[in-house]
Amino acid sequence: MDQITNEQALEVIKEMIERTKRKQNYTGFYHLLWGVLISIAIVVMYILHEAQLYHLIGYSWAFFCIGGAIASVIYSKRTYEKQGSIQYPDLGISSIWIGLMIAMFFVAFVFPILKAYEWYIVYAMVSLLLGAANFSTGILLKQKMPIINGILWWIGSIFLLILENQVAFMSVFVLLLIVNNIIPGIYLCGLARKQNGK
Amino acid sequence: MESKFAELDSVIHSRVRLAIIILLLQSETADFTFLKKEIGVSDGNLSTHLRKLEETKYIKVQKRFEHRKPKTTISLTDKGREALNEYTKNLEEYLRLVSEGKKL
Repeated sequence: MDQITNEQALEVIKEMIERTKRKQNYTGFYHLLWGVLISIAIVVMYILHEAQLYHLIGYSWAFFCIGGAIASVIYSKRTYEKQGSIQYPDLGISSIWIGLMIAMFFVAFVFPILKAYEWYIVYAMVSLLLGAANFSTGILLKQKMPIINGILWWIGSIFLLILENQVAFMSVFVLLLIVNNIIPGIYLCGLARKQNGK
Repeated sequence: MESKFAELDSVIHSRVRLAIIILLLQSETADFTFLKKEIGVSDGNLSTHLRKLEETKYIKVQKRFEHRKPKTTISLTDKGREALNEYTKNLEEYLRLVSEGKKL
């Protein structure tokens, strides 16, 4: 018979919660995706700027946002097929990063086209958005690293607004990308592998 | 002193069915194969328990074809969520009475 005592019921509840809690499903994919995408976007933006093709800068950002959207949807679909379940934290994390992508499209493409602000402001705005995504991911995963990365992105956005020297400006942004997205992405990827025993 | 507490829901009060509901509580949806692997039961056994939970409308079972293969996805309904809330409340009450040394 499958009937159980009340004490056994408590054990089953604990066991099932622990079983799913032990799994670190988030592999740092979105951190790496955005780290790599924005790095490429900066190089393209720099080239377009040097070539004085200013009108194409917005379109390059739009291209990367749409590319990121397609990659994110494919990734979340594959993750679900592989895992066999959509856990609420995973759903929360993918919603945060997909939401970031939509906001980035407006911030880096639509608003500058509408002449809401100058192109250099885009970096500070992107930093603010990446800060929010990192911070929220950290809260959901109960991981300090993405929380700190989120705060660093927010602090970095101030520097990106006040720095006037082009080299210093780009150096700060690239440093923020490496420290806040690429390194945590690799770290979270390793953590997921370790916890899932792969 | 003798105390009475509300009876536990007999539909949920089974190892497999309770495990199914707890796993579903943490997921938006789950596959048949995911539940089978996590709970460690046979196909037939899991199907029997899923049917019972579906009959009471605690879960929603959806069957479809994906890449020409049948796929069963299961999710917890609002009724199932409420039933689990009630169940855990009663279980908590039972444990409280036991810890106070009351005869049940």
